[in-house]
Amino acid sequence: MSERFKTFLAGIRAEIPLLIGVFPFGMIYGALALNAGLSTSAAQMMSSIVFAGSAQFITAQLVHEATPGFVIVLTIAVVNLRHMLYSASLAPYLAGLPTRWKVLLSYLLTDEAYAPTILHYEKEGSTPDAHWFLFGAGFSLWFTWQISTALGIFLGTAIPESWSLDFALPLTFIAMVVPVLKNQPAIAAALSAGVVALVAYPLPYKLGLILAALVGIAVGTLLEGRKSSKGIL
Amino acid sequence: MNIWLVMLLGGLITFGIRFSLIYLFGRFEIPQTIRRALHYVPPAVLSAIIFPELFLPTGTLDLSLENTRLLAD
Repeated sequence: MSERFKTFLAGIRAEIPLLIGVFPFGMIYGALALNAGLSTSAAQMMSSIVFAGSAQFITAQLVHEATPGFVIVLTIAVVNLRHMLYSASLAPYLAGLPTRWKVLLSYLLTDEAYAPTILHYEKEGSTPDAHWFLFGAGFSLWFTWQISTALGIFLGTAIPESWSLDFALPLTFIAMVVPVLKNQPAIAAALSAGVVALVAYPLPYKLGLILAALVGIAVGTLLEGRKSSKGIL
Repeated sequence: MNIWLVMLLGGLITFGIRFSLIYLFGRFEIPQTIRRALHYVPPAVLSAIIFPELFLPTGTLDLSLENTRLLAD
């Protein structure tokens, strides 16, 4: 087995716990999108054209409320702004790749693909085949999202409204945050971001998440700067 | 606006956001502070995703034992 194929499989393996959490979300999206008045083909195609869970849920809701198109497009942009942080974070590791790889991996760059990939890069460093890890994680998520959307569309209203299978996803993210808490500034970044995320939760369009992330990043950076200027590190 | 046009524009913008800094990296000098700040993206983003899921399952703060999500942790 070639090294890149092994790395590709490792990416898929790391993604599996997230896929289990994502699958019911995809089904609920499919059912909701039909319910909101989207055609079967539009509901299905949104999962590959936009390929961003929260933005798709919100789009379905806004279509249902007959919101003007440009407002929906703007909303999608704001909801997905957080991906710019992932783009910045992965950029140094992907810098040497040909543009076609950068395009493909950017298309696949979601919350769920970013999390295991950045852990992989931080652990293994930037090996020549490391981008196959992101490809494995991103592609398996993409595939799962398409299938679960289709199943949700097919089953439609047969999906009970009270489904609470979303629990697997936060648990998996918790397992992922632990390895990145390597030092005091990282812990402070995580705690301050978490607290701001709670306080700013009522903000619309995931702006609370973006604000929380920015505060956490600032806290971590400032603490690290202070420590190194004092010569503690 | 037609739903297909909305999806196409929404998809292009989403791709643009994801591609933006991956594309721009290396095309200009990145200040040391920004490089340092990038290390804190994972802990900050991950806990910003987790905290509300854990503490606000119904959209309001719930620290009671009724909140089974806290017990599972």
